[in-house]
Amino acid sequence: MRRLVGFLLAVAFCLGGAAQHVVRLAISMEPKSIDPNIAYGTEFSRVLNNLFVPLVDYDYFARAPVPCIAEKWEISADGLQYTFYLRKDAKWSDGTPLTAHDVVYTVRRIVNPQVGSPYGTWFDMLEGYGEPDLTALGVVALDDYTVQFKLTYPASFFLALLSGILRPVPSWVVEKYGDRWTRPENIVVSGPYLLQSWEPYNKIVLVKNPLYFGANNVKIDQVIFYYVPEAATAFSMYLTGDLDELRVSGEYVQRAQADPTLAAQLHAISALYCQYVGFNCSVPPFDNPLVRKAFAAATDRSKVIAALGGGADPAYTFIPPGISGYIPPEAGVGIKYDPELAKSFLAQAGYPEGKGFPTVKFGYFADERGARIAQALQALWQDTLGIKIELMPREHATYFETVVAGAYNVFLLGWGADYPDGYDFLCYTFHSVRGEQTVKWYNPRYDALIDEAARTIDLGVREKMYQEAQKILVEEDAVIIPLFYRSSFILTKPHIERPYTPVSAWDARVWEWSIKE
Amino acid sequence: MQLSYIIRRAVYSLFFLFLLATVTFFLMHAVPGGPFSGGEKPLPREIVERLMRYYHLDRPVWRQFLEYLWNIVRGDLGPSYTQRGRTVNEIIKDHLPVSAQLGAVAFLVAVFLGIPMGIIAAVKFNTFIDYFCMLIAVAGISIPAMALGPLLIYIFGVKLRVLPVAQWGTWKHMVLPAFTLGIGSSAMIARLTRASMLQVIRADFIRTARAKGLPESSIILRHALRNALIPVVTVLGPLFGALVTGTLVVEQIFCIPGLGRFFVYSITDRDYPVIMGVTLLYGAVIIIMNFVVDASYALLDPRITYD
Amino acid sequence: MIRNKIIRRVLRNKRVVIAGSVVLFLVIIAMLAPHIAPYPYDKVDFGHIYQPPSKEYPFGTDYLGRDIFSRIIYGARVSLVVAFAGAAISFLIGTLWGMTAGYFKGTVDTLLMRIVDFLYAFPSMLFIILLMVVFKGGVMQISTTAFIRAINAIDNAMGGLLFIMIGIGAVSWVGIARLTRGLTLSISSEQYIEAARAIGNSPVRIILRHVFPNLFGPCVVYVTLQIPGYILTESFLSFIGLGVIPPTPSWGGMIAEGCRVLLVYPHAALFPAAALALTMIAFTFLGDGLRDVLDVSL
Repeated sequence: MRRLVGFLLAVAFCLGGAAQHVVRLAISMEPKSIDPNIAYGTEFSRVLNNLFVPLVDYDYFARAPVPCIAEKWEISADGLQYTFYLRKDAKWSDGTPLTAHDVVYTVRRIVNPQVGSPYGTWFDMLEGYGEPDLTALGVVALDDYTVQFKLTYPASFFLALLSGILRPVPSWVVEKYGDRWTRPENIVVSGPYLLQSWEPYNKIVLVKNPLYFGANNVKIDQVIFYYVPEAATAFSMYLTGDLDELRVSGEYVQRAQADPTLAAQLHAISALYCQYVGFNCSVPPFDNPLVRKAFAAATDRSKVIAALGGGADPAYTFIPPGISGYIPPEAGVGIKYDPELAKSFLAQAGYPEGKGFPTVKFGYFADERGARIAQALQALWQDTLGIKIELMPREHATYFETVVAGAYNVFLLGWGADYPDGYDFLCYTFHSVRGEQTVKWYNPRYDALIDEAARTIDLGVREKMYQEAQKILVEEDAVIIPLFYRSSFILTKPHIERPYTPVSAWDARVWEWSIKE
Repeated sequence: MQLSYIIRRAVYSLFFLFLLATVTFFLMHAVPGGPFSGGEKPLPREIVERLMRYYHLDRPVWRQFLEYLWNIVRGDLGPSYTQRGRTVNEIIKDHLPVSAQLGAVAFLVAVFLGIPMGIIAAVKFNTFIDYFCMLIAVAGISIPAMALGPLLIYIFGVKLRVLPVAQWGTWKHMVLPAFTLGIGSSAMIARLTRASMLQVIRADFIRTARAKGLPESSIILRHALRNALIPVVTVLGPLFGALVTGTLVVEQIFCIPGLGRFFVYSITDRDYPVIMGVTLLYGAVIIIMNFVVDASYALLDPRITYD
Repeated sequence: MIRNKIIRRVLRNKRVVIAGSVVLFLVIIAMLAPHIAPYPYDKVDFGHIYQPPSKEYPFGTDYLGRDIFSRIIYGARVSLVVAFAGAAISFLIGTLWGMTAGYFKGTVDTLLMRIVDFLYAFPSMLFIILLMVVFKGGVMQISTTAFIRAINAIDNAMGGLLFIMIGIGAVSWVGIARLTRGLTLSISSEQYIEAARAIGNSPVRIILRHVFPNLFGPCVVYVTLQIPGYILTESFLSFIGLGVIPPTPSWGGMIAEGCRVLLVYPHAALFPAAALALTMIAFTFLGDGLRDVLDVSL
């Protein structure tokens, strides 16, 4: 098997040898794992998505799931049964065909509590979920190329969920090597690229996988991911041509915009992430919605964004553009910046001009971004409302715990999409049972809407429910103050041709790129 | 220096490593927060509990400590909690050589720039050369690495294009980071050498040597320098230790895959085995350097004896 | 009588006078900060973010439009407090420790130095981060002991400085202890010490009169050289959220923030770096001059 991989690498090399197209990218965080069932977070999906293909992919232009390993699928009328017909030419990099059994194995693995996958609980709609015997789980291989899922309720977001988290893994490799199966010498992949080498905190090198079913269309032969944690260094590397593509934010966006050559290479992509301020609604005076609305109305998002150096779109609702349930600002949902209104809210709550208001404890995750946002908000709120804010930066290992423990009145958090559906945004965060328990707020109408939406197949109706839920969240009860949706500005060298989706996760879909001759 | 002394030192050293391990271990576990509960969007609770159980983190601390000691004796420093699939042994094996190389070169820069500068400044005391050297030295200390690094990258990497911007590989990649790292230390060594030399030069035994009619260079180099170097050597030991185990800032700015980052981020990540492994490594290096320093005391000043 | 002589000699040394004045000047600025600074250090001006130096803002502004000039003045407070407190604590503990060990030798030396060796082998970065995490992790906030809550309150009132000072002091005295012990060992073997002992002088008198003045020079230089280290430690801590509490300005923190955007807005890092450099040069020359003067062999 290893010899075959070596042979493949050699072939890949020779094929590329004639005209080697290499693309060099940067990652700012070292991937903790590239096991698709375990990796949780943003940076590593850049690497991971080039190595493993999902059962179902998601097209952000069409905003719909599209075939990948699954050529087509059927959903039963009651929405409880999903049958996927897999393509027959999908292979693993060691030559083994990719079959339905691999899909079944992977789903069981994700759900298996022994494995500790962060997505395990999201498959709770499958029959047999929670049973100790994993073979009872509602996923079966009807034959080598057909997989069937049986659900206990018609989860409308199921396809979106799969597109986000279901990438099959090779069972024989995982069983043989355990935790170390993703190392370059052991790993077997299904995607457009092979993992040639991984020098931790230095660089990761991928080469084209000739056995990938779409290999004919893959134009880039080699991808190198450099680990560059410092924005200044990465920017320098882009200027010298050591990097072909770079995500920039804040002041570097301005720098790029100021330079005509760079400005031409700059593209903005909206990232599926919302930064927000949450309230601890259990401690007075923040148990009073009027107080929370006062703070919301005192938030001038443009100034907060300016403090970050720009590069973000203000958010008045929670779900970002590109995901079902997004409410455009024109719809008027949410609390806009209105200092007079803010003052009147506060007065109505019993604290005219902020008199008698206790010092507000504002907790945040201590990194550069958090510090800027927190200080900007502190200045804004103190000026408008006449109150005192005490900033409490916390290091990341303890931050979330302290939020859940209720140590603050106000805290800074964010949420990025795990899969492209509003359910991901609304449920795992603020749902009273399944949520993170950060805001300590329970509204049965909100919960009911979410639960109902999970079962509603009609996308139009579902969207309305998500929107209604957000209205409760940000306007009626004002439990959070959404601040902004993060934008990703990308600098790409002119010789690289690539599609720019209007929104994206943090993907680098290098198999869709090519070099302009 | 007799064998019995060396053996005693060795025993003490082992004892100290043990003490270091104990204090670090219990201190680490006393601090709030764990390896899996951090971040802006942490793992679900059940998963955290599962992982804690898998790594034996739910057992009483003293029991974990004994397990850890037992593993160390067998040469196993444990797995990394944050980097799944990698062990601490591998981490050290992969990253220590890089830091060691960088540190060694920076150390050489520091010593071969610092000591001569200090000697010259002391000899030409209160002259223009003295002031000039000291001004450079002070500038070297005052500009922090996090300011100097990007500046050098910009000048030599982007504008002049003579050296690579970052990363690690050829000797060219070593120049800027080693210089950034070494210059602060060289300044410190220069100052210390100068201060010490000035003291020694006025000492009685130097006057005696001069009265005897010995040539000035011999006086400086053989008699004065030896004694002057004692306080300098004191500093060299831990300096070397600090350089070798990596300075986070330089490695961060120049994207060098060294051990320095593990030092700091393992603490904030609560990656206990990595913290322990790197701390013990650092401790071992310091102990070795201390020994070297004490040995050189005896060499430099025959009046100092150990028994 | 001898004291007057020493003072006169100190004042005659050019370097001491110049550098000392600069340090004094900085101290006065730090103390009079609220009266000198044109703007409060936390006055935000969203319309003037990252402005280059201008008449309105002599050193330019930072990412919140705050005046860098004012922040540097207030930052002098922070940096000087950190520097002085750290230097004082480490000097006091370190010299006492080292002299005792080096003079008495034998078991005293062994015991004291073994402790020092152990603390030296303990990475100070680890220790200080652990200390800071405990201090600032929120646990002290909700403690049941009134004393602990009181200390936490003092620290908050000082913008987070108290714990930083404690932390830095706790890890830095060790180096001086080593240094002084080495020097004391050398000095103790000298003839005049033997003579003093023979005469029957008490150890304390010998240490203070003969040993200490000889150490003073290298110690002062060493401590002065550590000062940038303390400020850098504080800046690093501020950066991972364990240092000063925003919006309290600190030069180290400002430099660290400024370096992120060094290639875009160089003024943000340049001015605090210059302030730091100036302070360093002043302290260093001061230390130099003092050592020149207090050399015992004269």
